[in-house]
Amino acid sequence: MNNILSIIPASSFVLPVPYFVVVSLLVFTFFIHILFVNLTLGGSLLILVSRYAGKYAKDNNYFDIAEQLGAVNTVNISLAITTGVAPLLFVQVIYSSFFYSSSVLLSWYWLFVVFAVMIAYYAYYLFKFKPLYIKYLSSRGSLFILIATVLFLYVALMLVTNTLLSLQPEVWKGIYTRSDSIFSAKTLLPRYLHFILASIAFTGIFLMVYSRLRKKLKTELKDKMYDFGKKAFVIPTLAQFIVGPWFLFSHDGSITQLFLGKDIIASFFLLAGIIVSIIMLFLVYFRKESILNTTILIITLIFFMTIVRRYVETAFLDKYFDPQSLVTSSQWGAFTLFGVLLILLIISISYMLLKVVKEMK
Amino acid sequence: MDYPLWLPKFFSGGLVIACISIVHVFVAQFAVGMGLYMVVAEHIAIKNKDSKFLSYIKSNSALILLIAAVCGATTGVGIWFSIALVSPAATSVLIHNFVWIWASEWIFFVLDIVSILLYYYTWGKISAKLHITIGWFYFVGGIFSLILINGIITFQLTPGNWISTHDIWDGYFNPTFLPSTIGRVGVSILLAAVYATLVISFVKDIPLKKYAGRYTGFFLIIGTALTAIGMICWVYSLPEDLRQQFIGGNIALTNFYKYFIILTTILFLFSLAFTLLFPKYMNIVISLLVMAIGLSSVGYYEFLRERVRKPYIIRDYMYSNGILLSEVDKLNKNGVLAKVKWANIEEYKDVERVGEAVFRAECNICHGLTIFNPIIPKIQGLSAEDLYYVIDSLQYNPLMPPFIGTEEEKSALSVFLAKIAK
Repeated sequence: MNNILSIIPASSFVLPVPYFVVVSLLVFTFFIHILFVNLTLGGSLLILVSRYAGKYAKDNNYFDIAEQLGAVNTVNISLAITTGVAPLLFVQVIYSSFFYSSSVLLSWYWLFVVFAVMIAYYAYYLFKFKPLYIKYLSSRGSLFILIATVLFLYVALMLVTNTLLSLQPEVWKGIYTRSDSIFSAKTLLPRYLHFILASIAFTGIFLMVYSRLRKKLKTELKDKMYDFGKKAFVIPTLAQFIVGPWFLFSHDGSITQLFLGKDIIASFFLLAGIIVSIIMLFLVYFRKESILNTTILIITLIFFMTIVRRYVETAFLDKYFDPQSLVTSSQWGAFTLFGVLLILLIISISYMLLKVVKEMK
Repeated sequence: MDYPLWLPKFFSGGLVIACISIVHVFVAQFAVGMGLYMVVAEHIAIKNKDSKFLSYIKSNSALILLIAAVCGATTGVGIWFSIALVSPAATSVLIHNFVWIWASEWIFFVLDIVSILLYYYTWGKISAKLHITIGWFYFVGGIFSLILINGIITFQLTPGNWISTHDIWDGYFNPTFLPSTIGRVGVSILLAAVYATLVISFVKDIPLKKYAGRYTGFFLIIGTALTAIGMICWVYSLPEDLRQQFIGGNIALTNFYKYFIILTTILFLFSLAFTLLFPKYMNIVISLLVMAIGLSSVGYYEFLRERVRKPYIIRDYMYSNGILLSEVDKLNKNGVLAKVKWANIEEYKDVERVGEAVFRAECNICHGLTIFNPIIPKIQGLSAEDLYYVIDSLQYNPLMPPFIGTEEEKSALSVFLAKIAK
């Protein structure tokens, strides 16, 4: 233990506002970020599935679903990148010692994340705008989505790997001296699968909502899209009832116990999340779902799970690091500047969106 | 520097940062300038009811969508990824001191991206008035993210009073902040014109080509003028010893400075000839040439700015190898390896291995063995005794940090260097 503690870089910095402020911002911005990440990754996988379904069922509607998803996802990727910057910033404010160390362990693998996103994004634009002869291909350029999907799966794997490595300093030395693989962190596989399944399920709900909101699409396409979205939600969510417990019990007993009653708040959020997902499954099964209730429930579910994630991460580092012990010297002036700008941002974006929607009607 | 060290064998971390940042600067500054270029042009086109010019502007906005919002955004994040890999200690200092500046910059980045998406996808679908308003939002997002981030970059070179007060605003509004910001806004406007030549070169309609060329020419003149004003003020706002480095003091730096000025002048005259004067001859070859000169010019300036800061990563505060000036005495007593634990994580005891660890801890971040500012050619054939004196006299080289560590570490380093110098 002392050996491990001695190689963890000292957290000898000063927090620029109290800990809870940074954590709240971290959780909130990560929550926004993961919504778009889900659409990016889940959407890419679903484009491939719908291309396959279209071929298999000889139904062009599925090809249209793929085109629609491809078009919206260029916007989602942009928003996933943009909203990702904030949690990346706030995580460094508290966990720089851990996060930089794990990033260095991954080095090129980690750096390639940036290029993977860039290449995947361009692949998406090739699929969307179909320049040159791509539009005449029978595949309509879905090879590009395959490339993008592989790259996004890589990015997700690296994000999960880096997060877990930052939480498990006990494996650092082995990886640094190359005696262990970079995938030595505990809970990696179930965590990765849990996130991928969630991204597909979330995109399923998104498709259901999207099919109802887009007035211009043909009724047949809308109905097919709605049903496709429903399946994309139900199947991965059912699978989560196997992957979820696997993930939970792959943690050390002390962490697992937190969610089985030892920590009331942590247990509450996990249980509440599971209950929300069961309610959603029932709503869909009895055809009682609506745009409004599914949207509210899925966003609530993701928010709960984001909090659960925070509890897991704090628990992992508990034995190495007490963030409460950091010295705080608050820069309230600069923080106020940020707060005011954040409010102005929300106002500006709402203004533009409302005006655009109003004029386009 | 108590973080694990990233020391790629066949490449240097510094070079990774340089490659990513130069591309980023070349793309992101264009995106800022193009905001102004586009919105003003749209005003003019609407006023003159010029639908051809309007479709030309739409093509320019596609450039932002496809280049800036993809390559610009990802390389921006890439700079962050790479600086945290190469210099985690310095990155941590920048983050912890300026987190609310970064966070505010992020606000403008979000505004920038959301409004360019809206701007592009609503062409012809909403009223001109609203469309232009969204364009202005885009420009505001871009220019303020440039201004905010520039305070942090200039801080690294001229931290000013921050060194004694550690006050965020002393660091942010540092001596080179204003001139550098003027210069970068100028470069942004200049680069908008440079990228516009790409679109102009595909325009077939001769009157439109002339019109767009002339319009672009004005941006070239304004951009270059601002760049020149900013650059001159920047040079004179630097401390005397720094300025001396690149006006003769150091050959490499002096050349960077000279090439930057020559290339920018060529860029200005060459592109002016094919926009303001003879726009109808603009074609893709000329445009690509203009782009290439633009990229080189930007590259020389950024290299100059980085290299002139040596041996510091944050001047007068932290050396390039992540060692704080304030801890030098302590490390001279306790040994550099007592702090940089990851350099000798296997805890080797023999002299050569210890020397290699000291090399990793202090030198490797800027010097590879055989490539990128390589060490071997500099020390070829020298013996351990010679090298000991070379290391000892580093403190007299203005671009190198002094040796930091114990006598044993110093001799171990000279033994290791003598071995690789053979």
